[in-house]
Amino acid sequence: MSRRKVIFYRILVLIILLLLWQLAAGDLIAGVKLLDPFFISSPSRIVADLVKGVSDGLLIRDVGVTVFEAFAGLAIGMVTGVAAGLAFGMWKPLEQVGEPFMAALNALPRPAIAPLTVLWLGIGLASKILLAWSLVFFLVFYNTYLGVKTIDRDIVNAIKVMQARPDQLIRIVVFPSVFSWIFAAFRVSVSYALIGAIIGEFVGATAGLGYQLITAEGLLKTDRVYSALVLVGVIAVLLTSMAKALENRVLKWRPPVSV
Amino acid sequence: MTVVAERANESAPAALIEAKDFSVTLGAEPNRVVALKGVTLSIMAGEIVVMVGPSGCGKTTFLNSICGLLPENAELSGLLTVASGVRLGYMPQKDALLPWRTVLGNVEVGPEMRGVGKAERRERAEGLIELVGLSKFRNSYPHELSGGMRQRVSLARTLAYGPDVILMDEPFAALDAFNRTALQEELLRINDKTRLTVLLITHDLSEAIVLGDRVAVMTNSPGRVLDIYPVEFPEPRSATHLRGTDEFLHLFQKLWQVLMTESDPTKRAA
Repeated sequence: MSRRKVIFYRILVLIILLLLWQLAAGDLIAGVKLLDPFFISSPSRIVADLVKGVSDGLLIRDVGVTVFEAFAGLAIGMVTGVAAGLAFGMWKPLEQVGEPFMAALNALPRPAIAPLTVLWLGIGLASKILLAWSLVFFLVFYNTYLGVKTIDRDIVNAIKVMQARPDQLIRIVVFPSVFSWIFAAFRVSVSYALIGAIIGEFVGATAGLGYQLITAEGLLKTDRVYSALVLVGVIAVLLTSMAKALENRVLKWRPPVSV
Repeated sequence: MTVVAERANESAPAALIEAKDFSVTLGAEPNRVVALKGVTLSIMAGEIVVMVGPSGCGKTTFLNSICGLLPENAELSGLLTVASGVRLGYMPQKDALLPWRTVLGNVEVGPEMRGVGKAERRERAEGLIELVGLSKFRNSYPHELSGGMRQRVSLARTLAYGPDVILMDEPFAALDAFNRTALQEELLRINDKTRLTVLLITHDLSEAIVLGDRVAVMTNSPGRVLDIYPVEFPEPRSATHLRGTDEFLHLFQKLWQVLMTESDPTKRAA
């Protein structure tokens, strides 16, 4: 399908789904109502709530807080993950000793750690950044590590024979070849960082989309729950498509793959 | 001591690479094998030496020994010397180009690592890309090129590094017959322009005769140089033309006999 057609059908599907939702909630045709909007809200109610939330400035602040936490966790996670992945991939003793520790740490369920991070770092931004980091770090770490492990030996040898210094080998071969792996991790990391920040906000926070969600749920304000979820979705789509655009730009040397 | 060595160098042309009774044992314990047993061969400046032999006779092991690419558990004995200051270029069977660099970027990589300035290495690379006939593709990425074109880039990259000796590990084996001949022709043409020193290994006997100034016939595993045959054809050589001449056919049959006898297990046991 052509790009325009794809977009057209995407919008069409979205409109149909929204109309069905609106209909089911009883807000489209008077007298037709399948489910109570107390449980499922409805597109018009969500829009109304979003308008209200934006006009009183509260939702904008929450979006800003959550995005900031996610980005901080993402940035620190990328840097530390790449560094650890390179170290593990290139230094055999570290790989041999450290591997099970990494696997164990990565397996820890993040919601279970969330209260601990609040205990350590308080209810401010830091505990959420740590949680976002804990998801991003392992994703980037494993991708970088795998990237180093799968470097083409023939290429390494061809460059080594030209008397490459170790730093040249890293710059000319290792880094570019793990780059595509790191970028693959980057796209997924963006949504993981968001999830990490929101889980952190569930446990103890004074702002953020997760905080909005948990308080609205407590007060049974379903419209607000849905509008916060919609915002999370929109942010995730925006950020991942930006990541994808960046990836296509940076990795333009690759044969085209359609994923 | 150095004086004596220098005098020796003056009187006889010095070998750039010299192996004397050189042996290599390789592999993890139950499958440990003697890959090379007593190889004696020298490569002089300005000649193309071709090692030809059956698959698995240790030809690649010999090249890897020269490049220092043997695994850690390899056991060496005898003598293998590369004259000091000799720069080695290595052209593997698979092109081993950097897929994230354009043709130009790939050819520049050798001079770049040696710290040659940007403008100079660009000029050098452009020249070599033209030499292998790929000027139109200098900004293409490797995945956009055919196998033959990629191997031309690989050749240009090896030349750009400015090696004193070029080691080629079955460089044209992965190509179709047409491209293989075209690249052999190319190599001979370049060799006419700028005398190269090459150690090329192949299992293709006709390639060995067409390209080699000397052809070293290898025995079956464990590999050893059975005999070295000089190949004298009038210059400039042409890969396509040579194959029809009587001299070529004569040498081909002679070496073929040697190789067949060698790889026949019943005769080898005796």
